[in-house]
Amino acid sequence: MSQRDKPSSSTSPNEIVPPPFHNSSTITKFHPISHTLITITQLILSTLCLLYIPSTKLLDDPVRCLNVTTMTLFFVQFLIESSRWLLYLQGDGIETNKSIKAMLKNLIEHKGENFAHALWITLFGAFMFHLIAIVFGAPAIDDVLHTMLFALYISLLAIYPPACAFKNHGPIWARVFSDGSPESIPEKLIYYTTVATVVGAWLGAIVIPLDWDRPWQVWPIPCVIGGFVGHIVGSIISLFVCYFSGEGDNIQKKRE
Amino acid sequence: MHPARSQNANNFYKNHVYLIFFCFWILLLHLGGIYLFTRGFLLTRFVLDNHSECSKPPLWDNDNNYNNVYNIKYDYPWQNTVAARFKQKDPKNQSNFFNSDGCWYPKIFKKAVIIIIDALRFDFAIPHLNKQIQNSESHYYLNKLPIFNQLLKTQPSNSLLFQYVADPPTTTLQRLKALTTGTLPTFIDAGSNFAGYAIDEDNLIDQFKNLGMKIAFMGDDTWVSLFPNQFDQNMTHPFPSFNVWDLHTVDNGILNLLGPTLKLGNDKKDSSLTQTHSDFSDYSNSSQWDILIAHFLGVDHCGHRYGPDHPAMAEKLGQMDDMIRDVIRDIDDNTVVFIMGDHGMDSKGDHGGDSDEELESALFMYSKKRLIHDSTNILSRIYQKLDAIESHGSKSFTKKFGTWRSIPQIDLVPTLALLLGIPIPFNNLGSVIPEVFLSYSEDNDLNINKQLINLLDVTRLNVEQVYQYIIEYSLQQPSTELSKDAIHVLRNMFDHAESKYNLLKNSPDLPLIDDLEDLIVLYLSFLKNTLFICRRLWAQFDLPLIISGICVLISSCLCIGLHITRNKKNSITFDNQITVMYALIGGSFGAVFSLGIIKFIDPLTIGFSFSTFDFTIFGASFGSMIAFIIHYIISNSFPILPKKFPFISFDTFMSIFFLIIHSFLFASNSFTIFEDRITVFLLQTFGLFTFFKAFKIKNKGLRLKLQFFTFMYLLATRIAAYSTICREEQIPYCTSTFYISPTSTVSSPLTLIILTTMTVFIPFIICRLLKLSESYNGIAPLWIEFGLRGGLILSSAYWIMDNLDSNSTSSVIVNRDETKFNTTDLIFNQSWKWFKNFIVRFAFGLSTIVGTVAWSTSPLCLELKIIETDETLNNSSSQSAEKQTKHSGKAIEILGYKNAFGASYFVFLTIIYLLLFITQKPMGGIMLSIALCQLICLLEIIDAKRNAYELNVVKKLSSKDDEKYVSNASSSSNSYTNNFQHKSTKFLDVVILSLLSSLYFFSTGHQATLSSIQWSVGFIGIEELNYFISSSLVTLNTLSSQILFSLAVPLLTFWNITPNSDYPLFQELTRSILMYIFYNGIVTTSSVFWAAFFKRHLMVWKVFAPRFMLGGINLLTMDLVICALSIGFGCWKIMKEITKYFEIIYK
Repeated sequence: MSQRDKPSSSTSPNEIVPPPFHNSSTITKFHPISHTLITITQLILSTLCLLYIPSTKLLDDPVRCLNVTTMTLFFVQFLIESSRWLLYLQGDGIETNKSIKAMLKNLIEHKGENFAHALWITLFGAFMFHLIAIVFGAPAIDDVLHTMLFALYISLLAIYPPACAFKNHGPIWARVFSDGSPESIPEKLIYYTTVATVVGAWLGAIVIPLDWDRPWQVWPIPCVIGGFVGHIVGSIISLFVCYFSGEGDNIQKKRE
Repeated sequence: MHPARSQNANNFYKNHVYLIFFCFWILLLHLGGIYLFTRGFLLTRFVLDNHSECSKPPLWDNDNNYNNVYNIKYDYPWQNTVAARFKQKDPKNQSNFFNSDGCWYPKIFKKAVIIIIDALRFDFAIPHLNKQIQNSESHYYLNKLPIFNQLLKTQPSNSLLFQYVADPPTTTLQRLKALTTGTLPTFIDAGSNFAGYAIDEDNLIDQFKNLGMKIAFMGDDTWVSLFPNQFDQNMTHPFPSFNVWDLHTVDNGILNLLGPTLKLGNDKKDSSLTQTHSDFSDYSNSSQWDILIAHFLGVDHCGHRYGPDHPAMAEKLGQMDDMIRDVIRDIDDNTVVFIMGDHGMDSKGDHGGDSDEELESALFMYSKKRLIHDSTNILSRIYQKLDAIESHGSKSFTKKFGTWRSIPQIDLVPTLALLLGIPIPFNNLGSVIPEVFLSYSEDNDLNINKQLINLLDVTRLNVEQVYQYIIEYSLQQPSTELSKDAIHVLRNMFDHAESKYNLLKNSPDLPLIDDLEDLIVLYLSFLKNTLFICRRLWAQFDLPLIISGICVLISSCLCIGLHITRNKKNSITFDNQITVMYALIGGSFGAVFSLGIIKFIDPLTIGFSFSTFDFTIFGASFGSMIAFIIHYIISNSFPILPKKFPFISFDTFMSIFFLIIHSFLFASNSFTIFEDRITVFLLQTFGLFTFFKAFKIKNKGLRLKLQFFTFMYLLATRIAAYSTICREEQIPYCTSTFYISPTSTVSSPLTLIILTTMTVFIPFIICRLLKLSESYNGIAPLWIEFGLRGGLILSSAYWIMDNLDSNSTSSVIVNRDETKFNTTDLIFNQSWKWFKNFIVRFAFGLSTIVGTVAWSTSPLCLELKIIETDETLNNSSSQSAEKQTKHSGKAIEILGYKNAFGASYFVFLTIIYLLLFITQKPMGGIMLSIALCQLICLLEIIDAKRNAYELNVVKKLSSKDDEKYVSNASSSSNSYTNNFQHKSTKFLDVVILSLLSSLYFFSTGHQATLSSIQWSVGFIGIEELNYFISSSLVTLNTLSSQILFSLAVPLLTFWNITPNSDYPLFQELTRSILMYIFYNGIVTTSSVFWAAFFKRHLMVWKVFAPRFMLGGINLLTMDLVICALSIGFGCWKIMKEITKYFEIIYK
């Protein structure tokens, strides 16, 4: 068990010791160029997914547009997360042999299970976002498809990356998101992106009540756009945070 | 221990009294600020006492001086004019002069029948040919008055139907004022609907009476309070108007009288036909009438009770249809009939606001003599020209439901006056209805030219009267904005029209039709413009007063804020006493100072319209606040700037963020309209945030508890958000769910079932809650089991009976078997009503008398249990027995010690809850119950968060047992008892509580509009309108959520607090209360500020002003409830009793 996964304070008896979310303990460096490249690719691809790939525009028919968007976005996210984890695992130096085949094998070996779990976690996340949307005042019975697709979209942006990383280990989720203290580089990258996406979707709702009578004020378009913009901002912020602050102090202390 | 405690108690009394004084001071500040603002913002119109005189038509010459008509040599090329007619008359013989021809204009009709069908909406009256409309759901009120359409079809020259647009506010009293005086009653008058008062302005009824015409009246008794002496004593039959749930008394009463009265008029007239022309005064002894006014209330009451779409409405309109047929059959040739609504009704059947449906009613005119002679469509050409030059204001035609003419309501006044040959009332702003004046022609010569000249004369007469009024108004009130406009715009228009008129008059030829039309258009457009300007400017904002009001409110917020921070800093000594003294001295000094200023430097106030009273209030407020700040500086070495930027926790950040959002909501009309949704949004943000933050709590039990209560909180908010009454502006995005359907005011059976389950559910929940802290003792079981449950059951029984009652009424109507059913139904109804009222009165008694008396005799939920001391028991003293005193082998366990304050106060809260519950309609009752549940959730959430924090601190202390910690705290438990910081109320808690009070205001079927006030609850438990009871019921109903939640503020401090003498309970109480007032003060100040900021905004009277009024009333209610009920009664009682209780025990 690695040191870093222990919470800062001593654990109480009834607390479950969290299992490690990946085997390595050597991810120390943040590779600015490769991470930036991956992020930029992801932002471009997700923009394409939302605005350019669907044949029906978001404003014309959100349901049909988001159908296509979520479908394609899933593959984009899968691709991006795979490449991210390839980068991490390579950085871990577990596999010195750098042939692509070996890297993929390594990925499947270490993270294959995570990626499989990420599917249902994302769906569960979508369900939760659906409920949250209803709780915030979205129509409970009408426009089910709108709400569902919005939830799925946000879930893909916000839940899929952490799901790949943490699987279903509750304590890590709790530490990163509930306590708000991400420590390692992957955690930080995920944390800021996810939080910004959710906050963006939250802020998007502001324009709905305004009486401008614009087509983009209809639920769920502002929240989808908000989530999308939030995701972009969050990705950029997370890059900066990782670049300037690196790992959390706790990890470094423990490593020493 | 004893002396210290009594010292404590002594301190407590003193502090408590001064806390009440302090809150009272804040109440006064708020009152002063709101009063000053209201004086400036909701100004009343000045009422001119001038009266039009029969002998002095308002004809003006070019120098705008009064003209004596008789001295002017009118040199008209046409002979049929008014002035020419006057020239022929002998001015000295007035009565003769009047009787034959009329005052300013020859009378066309000798008698008039004015039938007002209250709340006759425009679409009730017009024919709907469209099959779609007929098949749609709203078929109970469409096409139920076919008589209008039949007459329009068969006798198009004798009947006219207009869309009749009232001005807001659409309350009957204001409409009657407008209908008789031709003025625009102002917004603030809306409140006086319950007590009508006599009109002293010049009005039609006075004019009728002065000229010896006899007025018969029957119907709504508001008329009699408006015109106490004007009606003929023998022919006045008022009926009580405010029993909204009684559909038939007024109408049946009128129907019984109407037929005979009509016939009476005809018979007399036939027999004394010759006399009519010679002398009018001969009728003084007979029961002949000249004007017959009948005001039906059934349609309005039906709308209030059931909404427009109800079988009862169809029946009511059918009855009206029959009545109109009878009237039209019975009148003679010299009578004109006006059938009109005084206002419309909204989709729920209520009125009072300014939505289109409330404003639009119908006016139908009929006479057996020919009314219109418009063979060549002159009028439509005139209207086209008029609409073409109109830049603002309403069009002459409405396209709604086909093409109909649309006229302002006050147009009735000059039309009726000139038709019957009486002077137009002095203050009139209406314009004549051109249709009826085109016809008049002495020798039945239907020459278009002559018709137009006649119309021109009438319009000019009207214009001159209005212009005279405007000039007179600006002379009497020189400081008003109206004078500027009058001089700049209206005078130009008037002069332009007059010069054209003179040009036309002086030309030797007969004028062209086109020229005449243009001139008429000019005059009509002058009238339209005047009305437009008056409408826009009538509320004269007084900027100095507005600004001073806002200043007082803002600085009162500042003072509260300073007091809160001071209390936080000096944790031991905080002196409400000295503060109050300073404020008192400052206030009196300020008052005296301002009085002195106004006495000696009188010219200073010439620019302002401050009265002495206003100025004294302003001076006193500022004096006291300055004294307060001086005191603050003295005691705190002000200003203290923080050395470094203080660390703001996310909770604090969120609360400030919410405060900012809630304050800036009122900067946008859309956000103000959707305030209910935004409140839900903010509340849910808090709930979800807490829910996800709960995951980090390590203790599983605590985590689950917090998450459970947060989940319930989220659920409760969502359910509360479900129940709503849509305001008009929300309509496409909102469906009303408060009643069974958006167009009804009946509750659905499902609502009643849920309401009934609430009577079981609520006592159960409260019982479980109190058992959590073992405080289900003392008064609690007795009150909750019997008092509260009984009250809830009685109240829901009342609503069930009420619903059955309304269902039975509808079934009667469906059967249409009136003779058989009516008698049984009447008896049934009477006994039913008695029983129903008895039940609900009993429930009121339970809550107000039994509950309060029982609670005030023994408010505590504590119980002593003597147990044998066991070593084992001593060890396991964690949960129930916090306090154990050894007594020779026995121990006293105090049950409910853990939550001694909270439980007792909660029981007090449920008493008030019951009172509020009774005043709510079924859905409102459910929502209020959910509000109580959510309050419980919030209290438990706050408690769990405190516990979590506590646990965290303890753990940190125990785990990091380093040297520095050892020096500070010998043991973790000791440091914990000394540190109460985490127990103190956070600003966020207070913010959430305020937002909840706002949420449940909307959920209990209210909106920030006048029309959403549920007037019908004023009749719960009483049969006749009682001014005091009804108005207090309506107040309780409207403000129930604010009352409930401001009463709950001390619970934030009291909840799960043990009576520990070290705990600064009193200071914490002060802080919670002040923070709550602070938050609401800022929100209200913001709504006031934005209302003033947008005072020329299109939406000001629809959105911003009602929100400001709601905010002001909220704030004052809150202050009053906190002052009188909460700290004045509840907290006082509990703290006193607990001190006493423990003194006895410790002895």
